[in-house]
Amino acid sequence: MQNNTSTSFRGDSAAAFLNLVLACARPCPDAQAFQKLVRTYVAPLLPHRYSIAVFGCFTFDHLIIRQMVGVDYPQAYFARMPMQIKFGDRPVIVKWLSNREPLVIDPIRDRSLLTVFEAQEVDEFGLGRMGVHGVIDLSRNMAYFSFAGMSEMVSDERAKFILQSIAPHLHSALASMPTMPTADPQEPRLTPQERELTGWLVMGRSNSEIAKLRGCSATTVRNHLSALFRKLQVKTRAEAVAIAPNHGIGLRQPGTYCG
Amino acid sequence: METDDCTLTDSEGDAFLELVAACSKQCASVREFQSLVCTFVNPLLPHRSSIAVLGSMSFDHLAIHHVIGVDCPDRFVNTIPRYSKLADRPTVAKWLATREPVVVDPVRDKRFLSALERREIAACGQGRWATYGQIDLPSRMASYFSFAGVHALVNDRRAKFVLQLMTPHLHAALVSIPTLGMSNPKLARLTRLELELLVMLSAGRSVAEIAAARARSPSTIRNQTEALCRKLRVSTRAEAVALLAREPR
Repeated sequence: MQNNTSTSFRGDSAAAFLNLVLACARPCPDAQAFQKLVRTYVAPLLPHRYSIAVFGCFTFDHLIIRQMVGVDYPQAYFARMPMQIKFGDRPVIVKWLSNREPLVIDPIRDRSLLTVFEAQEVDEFGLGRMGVHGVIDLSRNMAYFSFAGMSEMVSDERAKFILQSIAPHLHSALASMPTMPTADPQEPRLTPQERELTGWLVMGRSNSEIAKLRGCSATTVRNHLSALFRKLQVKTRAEAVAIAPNHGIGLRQPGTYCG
Repeated sequence: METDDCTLTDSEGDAFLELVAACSKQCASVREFQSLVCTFVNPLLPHRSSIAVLGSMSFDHLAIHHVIGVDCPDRFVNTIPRYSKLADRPTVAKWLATREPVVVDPVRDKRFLSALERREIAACGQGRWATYGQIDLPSRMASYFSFAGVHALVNDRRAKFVLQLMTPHLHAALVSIPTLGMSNPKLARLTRLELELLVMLSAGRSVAEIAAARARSPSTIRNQTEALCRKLRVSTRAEAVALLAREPR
């Protein structure tokens, strides 16, 4: 049992957390239901002004946003939000991705952590103190939650604890929304030859090895590869291997654990 | 008594909050996940044994990518077919259709169960099974938890209620196991830090970006990358990334 009061739920906060858990266990029919859920059940635990839930996936240097659900967010913010975000522009997300632990950002204290772009955004929309956390999925997609204008009454440690406790439930509610897109229509479709070639890359084969396997010259392989990279919009071999799972290539051999 | 089934008393609330706290720490290994289930699930849902499955569905087939048995005989876990028809798994099919927990009683629900499920239940001993899972955001994969020999004092309604509370956390804990299903012994030997570096490289992050994220200098990251490649006995970064990409999940 944890004794520290900031990292435990007691009395009212325990009841509020259980209410949130129960609400998230019911399927969420649409975005409005999700917004209502956040307004009703997150606010008592983590007082904040507005929040955003993002569902997307990350490639080599981009975060591709597939869906956003804002709760009381200024409309102007959404209008400006690009659907593809460069990691370089978003150090907060990169920091979260690298240790996957909740983050609390104070716009004054943590100014140096923000890019010029982010700092402008924080000032313009009065985002204030922010708490962010997310969940990475089995398919390497992610749900990312950002709560802006968090009350000063909540310490950093407390906010992180709450974010950690509620994120799995918000994620599960978001995943139950039937409108969640199942595939990115913008992802290029690969031909069987291109799929095979990508498969060899995932196996770590060199150009000359692939040439032997396919019975063609290494130059042909090199040409095919550069065409493939163009189609996948990647620059290097490692990037191509990294995004192969998005095309269902290079995954899964069943494994077993007993105990 | 109906309403009592779907509430937690103070001590049950504490037990649940302990489970939440345990699951929010990342699981370092399969063994840690197993002990988590033993320690924290039993007070809420007394049961005999359980299995946790990561799998996906394609058309009318279910593919199992990983199985973790807890207090389950190895012999049983090894007999679970890696591919099966959805028609042979009515319990899973019911969960997929309703997205709600399913409790089956081998005697009461004999007609509902398939021959395969009846055999499996018989192999695991007496009592009810309580199952539930969590589907990921793009609906490609899912985790699925099945608790066998649920205690007679826990009624169906109660078991379903408790599963709804626990599953998002068990899912998060399961997904956080870094070496889950690493079949390559070279990868299984990596430290957490090395594995994180490899994951970042796999996401196509550059040395400069990794350095920024880790608050280290680019040369430190370059040295760490070289050490990682030596440890994996590969000569290029792409080969190292390929080793990880070849792993399941």
